[in-house]
Amino acid sequence: MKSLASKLRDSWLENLNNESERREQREKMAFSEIAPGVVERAKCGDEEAFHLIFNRYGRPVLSFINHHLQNRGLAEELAQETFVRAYRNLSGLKDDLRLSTWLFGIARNVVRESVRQSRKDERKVGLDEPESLKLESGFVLPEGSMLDRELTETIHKALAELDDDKRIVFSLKIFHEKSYEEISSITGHSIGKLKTDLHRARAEMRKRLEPYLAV
Amino acid sequence: MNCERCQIELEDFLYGELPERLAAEVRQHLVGCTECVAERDRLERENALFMTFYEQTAIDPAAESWEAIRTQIAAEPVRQVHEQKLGWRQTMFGWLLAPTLAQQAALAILLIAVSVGTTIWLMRRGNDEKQLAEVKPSPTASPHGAESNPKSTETIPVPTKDLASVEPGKPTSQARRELPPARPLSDNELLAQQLVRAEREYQSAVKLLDRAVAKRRNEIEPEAFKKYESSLALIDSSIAQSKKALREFPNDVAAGQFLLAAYARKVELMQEVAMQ
Repeated sequence: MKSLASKLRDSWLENLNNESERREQREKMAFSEIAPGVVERAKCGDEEAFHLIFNRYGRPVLSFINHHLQNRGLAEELAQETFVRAYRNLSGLKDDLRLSTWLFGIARNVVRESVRQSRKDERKVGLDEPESLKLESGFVLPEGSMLDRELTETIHKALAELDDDKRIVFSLKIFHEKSYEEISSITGHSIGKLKTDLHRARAEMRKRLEPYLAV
Repeated sequence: MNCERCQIELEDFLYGELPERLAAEVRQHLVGCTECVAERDRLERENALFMTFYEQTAIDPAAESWEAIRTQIAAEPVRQVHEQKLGWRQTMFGWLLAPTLAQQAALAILLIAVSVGTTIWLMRRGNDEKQLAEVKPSPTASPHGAESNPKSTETIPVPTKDLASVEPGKPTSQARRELPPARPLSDNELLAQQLVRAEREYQSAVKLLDRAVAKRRNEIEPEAFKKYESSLALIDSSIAQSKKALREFPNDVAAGQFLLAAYARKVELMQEVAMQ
């Protein structure tokens, strides 16, 4: 007969296996949420098919941009620009299964260009404040929010204070559950750098959130 | 695995990024280490907090977002990029400037033209001789095939009854082993062999053209592509019918001619689409 400890251990191991299975399942679902042939149709100029792509990926792409810039209005604008560029370049997408990674790659470029442009503009008027810090109050919490407003604000601030590379890898890994390989193709950074950035980002976030994380 | 190593790998372990062997080591270590289990729990709590944060702060695009995108993409001319006016040099020598794949296909078509021409000539000749033989029966079968084409005796004497069932590209080595040493081919056998060869060459050209068409697919209007696909389906059905007829009547020269004509039409159609 199994001891209680070994039962607990088995159930814990099972949970871990389930976690990796759940992750696999999530990845498969992310791919299968776009019906087969939709990307192909969109490549041929089918607007309806492209609308399906927008409906599926509009939310993660917009949220990714918004978490980076923390400015809803600008994020909406840049998300639109991302999808227009995606439509223009859809024929360049080699592997339809990598559509979401490809879209995040475009979004990342669009954000980078926008930040670069706004930094240039700021220099012109003598300001040198990082875009992300200037725009930190762009979030509106939905009603009935389960996280404390103060905690949410603290996470926002902590995110905003990460440098661009760390914030992007943190967002793609933790919020969007992308693999290192996918993040590498989105950012162009080596997996080694991504791991270091992510580890440091987590450490910085932890430092700021310490009071909330204590058991 | 010691605690230091385990804690280095823990983050990747929770992301599902560790190779299975290393993940198993971490799992094993966690079974007996309360310190590392506590670290794992801490990371999991953090992850849960971040995920909750994401779920609560992720936003849906505004209702008017799609309209704004739609307006912009409606004005996009990108799908017709290759329909620009061509200069006279491009018109005359355009096929040479076409992508490599299309050039290979063009070359393949030139080559099969020679081979298919021979087959058709043999077919006609076979027909004429048959008609002559009906008027003036000849006591022996002509060995001209084997003499005029010495290579043919080295390859496959395709049995007439298997004319259409021989799979192109595959029979050579197998048939070589079964080959009786130097029996001259009969007219029908030679014809069958030429047909198989021509069919094989057409199929190679079709494969190349298929890839060339696939490369151009994004530039072709969806409506035009639908028409192309339905024409192709019609031709494929003619090919299938001719093959069926050849299986039933292996000596039917007309069925062979139909088969080659259908292949020729298919190649022509694909060529038009791949190289326009």
